[in-house]
Amino acid sequence: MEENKTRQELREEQLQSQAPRRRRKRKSVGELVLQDLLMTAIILLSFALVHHVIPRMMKNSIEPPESRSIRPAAVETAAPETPALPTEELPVEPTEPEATPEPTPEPTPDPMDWRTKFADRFTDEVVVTDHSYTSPNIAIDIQKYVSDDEAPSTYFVADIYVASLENFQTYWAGGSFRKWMEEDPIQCAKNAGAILAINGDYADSQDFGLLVRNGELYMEEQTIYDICALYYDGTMVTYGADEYKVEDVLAREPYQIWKFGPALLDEKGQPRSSFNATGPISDVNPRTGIGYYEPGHYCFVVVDGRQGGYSAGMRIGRFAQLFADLGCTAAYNLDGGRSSVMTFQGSFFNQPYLNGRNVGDILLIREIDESEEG
Amino acid sequence: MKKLEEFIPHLSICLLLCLAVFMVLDGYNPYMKWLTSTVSKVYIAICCVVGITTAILLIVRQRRRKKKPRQE
Repeated sequence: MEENKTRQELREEQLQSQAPRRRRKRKSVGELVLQDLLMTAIILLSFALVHHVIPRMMKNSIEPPESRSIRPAAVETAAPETPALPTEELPVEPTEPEATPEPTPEPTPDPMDWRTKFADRFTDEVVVTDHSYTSPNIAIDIQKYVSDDEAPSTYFVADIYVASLENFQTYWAGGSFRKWMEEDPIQCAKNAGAILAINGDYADSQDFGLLVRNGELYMEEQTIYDICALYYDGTMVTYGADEYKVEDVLAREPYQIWKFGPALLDEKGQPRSSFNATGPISDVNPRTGIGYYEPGHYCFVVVDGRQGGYSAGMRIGRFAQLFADLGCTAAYNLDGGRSSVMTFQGSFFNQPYLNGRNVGDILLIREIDESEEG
Repeated sequence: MKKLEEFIPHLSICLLLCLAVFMVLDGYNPYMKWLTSTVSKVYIAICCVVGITTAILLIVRQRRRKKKPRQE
């Protein structure tokens, strides 16, 4: 009996000693789920750290990608046009007068002579107001509007005329293209000498696509996104993702190519029937876009948003309609949200959401020094 | 080996959940180019579901196998 009790006691003791160990080993289903979720979070955070945070911190040490100039030879060697020298008058031998002298044909206007074409827009001297700037080379007029939508939006339209394409430039934050290099847009505008500027297409976040800035080719890869090309002849064309070939676009000598999108208008200048943008991007947002009327005549549009009582923002379809109403023949959506900014004479002209944020590039209008011409 | 057998299903669940998070992020911001082709997105979504289900079933089976000797 004693022996039995001892065995029983021993077994109980053994079980008691084993029980806590077993409890420690076996986890409940809830604990397992929690453990897996925690592990997932750690993996995601590690990924974000390696992929996003560290590269941004190390941006200054990242080598800038190689670029090559694709400026047309005519632009590289362009010299100011000189008036034709008067030819020496030679003694003319008397000849028989022609019966009907042929009328001299009228000179055809040079399509690239925007200074003459838009002469009534420019002024001999620089004239600056709180919403406009005119000079012999540039005419900018910015107007503020409030849409009559259900949720009204405040937007700004900068009507731009330039005498030369060189007055319309882009600028990389920090002065050169580097991944993740971003800077305060006001500082960018000041560094670039911009009179007027808007945020660009967030190209600094990517190392793919077709990218040309100020005649420098950085990347030449077809992507699934729409692009916008501004050519050296001043024309601006937007392409749907499947509407272009990289070699064809490059063969037309692009001056700038943006790669955000979507393209907003069709070839008739009407809003596209569908947009190459997913739900969140096409939803109501602060927006920035560029519009094109004709060579030398463009517009920058910025819509404020996410600010109750002041401005809601616009859906992509409404934004496209806005450009169609302005009479643009092509229009393209750039980076939006908190990035949407318009600066004029070194300060914000719009009211950016949460005071804006650093941007990777800007589109700008500026005067060109004589040393830069040609 | 037994430890590895127990660990791999959990690792599969975690990695596939990460992939599912990328899919959601891609929906919100396709500009980041997490995933591109629609066909591959559908394929990846199916893989996520199948993989996570397989891993859960494996964990359940392992737990049952562990439980049995204690019930005897």
